[in-house]
Amino acid sequence: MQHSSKYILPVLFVMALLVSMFNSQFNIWEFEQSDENRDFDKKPSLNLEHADPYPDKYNAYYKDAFTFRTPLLSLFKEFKFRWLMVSPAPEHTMLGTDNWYFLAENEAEILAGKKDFSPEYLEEFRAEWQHRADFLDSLGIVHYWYILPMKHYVYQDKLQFQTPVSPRPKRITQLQNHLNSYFPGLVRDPTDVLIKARDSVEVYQRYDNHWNHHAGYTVALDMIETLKKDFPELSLRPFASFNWTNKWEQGGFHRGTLGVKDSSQHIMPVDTIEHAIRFSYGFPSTPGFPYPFAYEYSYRKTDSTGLKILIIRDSFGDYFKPFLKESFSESVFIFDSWQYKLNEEIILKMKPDIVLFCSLETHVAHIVNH
Amino acid sequence: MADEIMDASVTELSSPVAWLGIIAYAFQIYFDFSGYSDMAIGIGRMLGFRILENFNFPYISRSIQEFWRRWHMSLSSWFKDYVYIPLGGNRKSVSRTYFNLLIVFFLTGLWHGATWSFIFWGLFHGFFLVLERLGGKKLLDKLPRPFAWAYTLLVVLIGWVFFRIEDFADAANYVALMFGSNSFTEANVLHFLDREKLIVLGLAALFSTTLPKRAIDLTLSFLNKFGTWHHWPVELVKTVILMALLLLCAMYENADSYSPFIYFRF
Repeated sequence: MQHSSKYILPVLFVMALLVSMFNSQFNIWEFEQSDENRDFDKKPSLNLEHADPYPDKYNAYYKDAFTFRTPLLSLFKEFKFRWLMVSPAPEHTMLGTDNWYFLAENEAEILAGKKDFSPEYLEEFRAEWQHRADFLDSLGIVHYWYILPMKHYVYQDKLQFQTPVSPRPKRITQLQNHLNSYFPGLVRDPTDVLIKARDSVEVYQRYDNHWNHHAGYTVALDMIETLKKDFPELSLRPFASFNWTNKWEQGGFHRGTLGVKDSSQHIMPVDTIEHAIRFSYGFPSTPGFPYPFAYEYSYRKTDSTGLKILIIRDSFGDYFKPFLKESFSESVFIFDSWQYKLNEEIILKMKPDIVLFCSLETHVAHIVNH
Repeated sequence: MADEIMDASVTELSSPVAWLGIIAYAFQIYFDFSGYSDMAIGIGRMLGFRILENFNFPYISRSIQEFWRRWHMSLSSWFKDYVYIPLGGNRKSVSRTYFNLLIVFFLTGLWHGATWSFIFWGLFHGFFLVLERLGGKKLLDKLPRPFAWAYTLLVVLIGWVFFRIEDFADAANYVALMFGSNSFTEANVLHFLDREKLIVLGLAALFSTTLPKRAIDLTLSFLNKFGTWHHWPVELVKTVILMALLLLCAMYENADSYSPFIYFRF
């Protein structure tokens, strides 16, 4: 017995290798690679004349195609999140308090003040907006730039105490102050409106970077109030007049990175009988945009003000779309792959009365360097 | 953590963070290098070769002389056999011995890389070796053990800064920052720590000492008093621990390529 014990480890080690090899060949256990939503590396072909990149490419392929990748990832997430209570993917998700989770990525650097705009960069914004204002003013179009806040600034108290936060004003405030001297009132930052709203209701999703329909309604209301200066006839239907439904869902970026399986409940608006009717101008989607189906949402409504609005938006726009479309005779929502361009062709064809540029503050720089 | 801190500009660091970075790097280089050496030893043994140990708990050393008897022993013995002794070793004058030592450590630095930082690192260690030969060792022997250990670790840690940071001026700035000079920012040491990193740092510190080995030896010698019945269960426990470590390594290696795309759904 004592003699045989020294063979246990090598036998188990070889078995671990063989089981992986057999499963790769015969797929006895199959696991979905579903939670990354990206293209996995393909098996490279060996070209003896250009063999240098082959080992790296094969390594990348093997890491993606390893037969027990999915269960090992689940175990890893369980180990890190449940046992060690740290983020399994700290470069993507940072843990907050009270079950709040935040994007790390660029957002953490913005929060720490590492992505503040230089004076030259601020000047680039000014030049870009001069160009846009000249174009839109020449057509008599009212326009605003809504910079939608990251969850970090609305729920800053839910960040862990050691999260680095710059003591300087956030970069969007710096940008707003700079542009205000040239284009008064152009930049709208609804952070304070949302902070006020969160006293009574959650306005961001705990397991995702996005806000929710409560925030969407709050910001839509702020937009309508802002636009009333030029169009006093505008109004937003009361919150309660929308049909709402409760929806359980498992989605959310941070659920994937943390390996959380349970669902949470969201309140969702449901279209009523008198809702605006969807149609399409058929504007071509931005090349390379991974969600071309979301590029254009256009709506018409006969019994309203006769005003037309164009909204250049990102995914956060999904949450105010159901409300805003009810307040205009025509509303067009364009998701131009986070580029937030002026989109002159669309403006000339649609001839809107109002253009709102709505960009998540993470992506504001795309306006000048897309 | 070591890479995150050591790769950052000193303007982004504070003195405690600089210390944390170099301590983490000291563990990183030891466990990395010692781990590779153990792999070579293990593979060699599978093929029937017995390769000598390369590290022997270097961070418990109480002098730089002792450190070099415990750190990268194969390199030390090679330089001793093929450089120090052919140069005359300590058989000639005292000053020639010191010169030989400095030559050996100049070459040790150069062997690691042709940069001023590596050369400085080698000469830095050579300087303290000479200092110890000049009487410093006798002083260290009289000191309480923790003081001698703290001195050695301090010299080694400062040396690692020059080993890790390629640009000499950057390395010098980093050392200055460690001692409170130019403490540019309020960067908090807690920004770089979490539960996992604390556990890893704690384990690294523990396994840098002989304590775990001594505890195991003591337990086994205690069990030996009751016969040989425990051999098989001990082997089983060892196997379970090693397989768990293998699983842990596979988990971490596998997760290395995990790259979720943020816009999964909307």
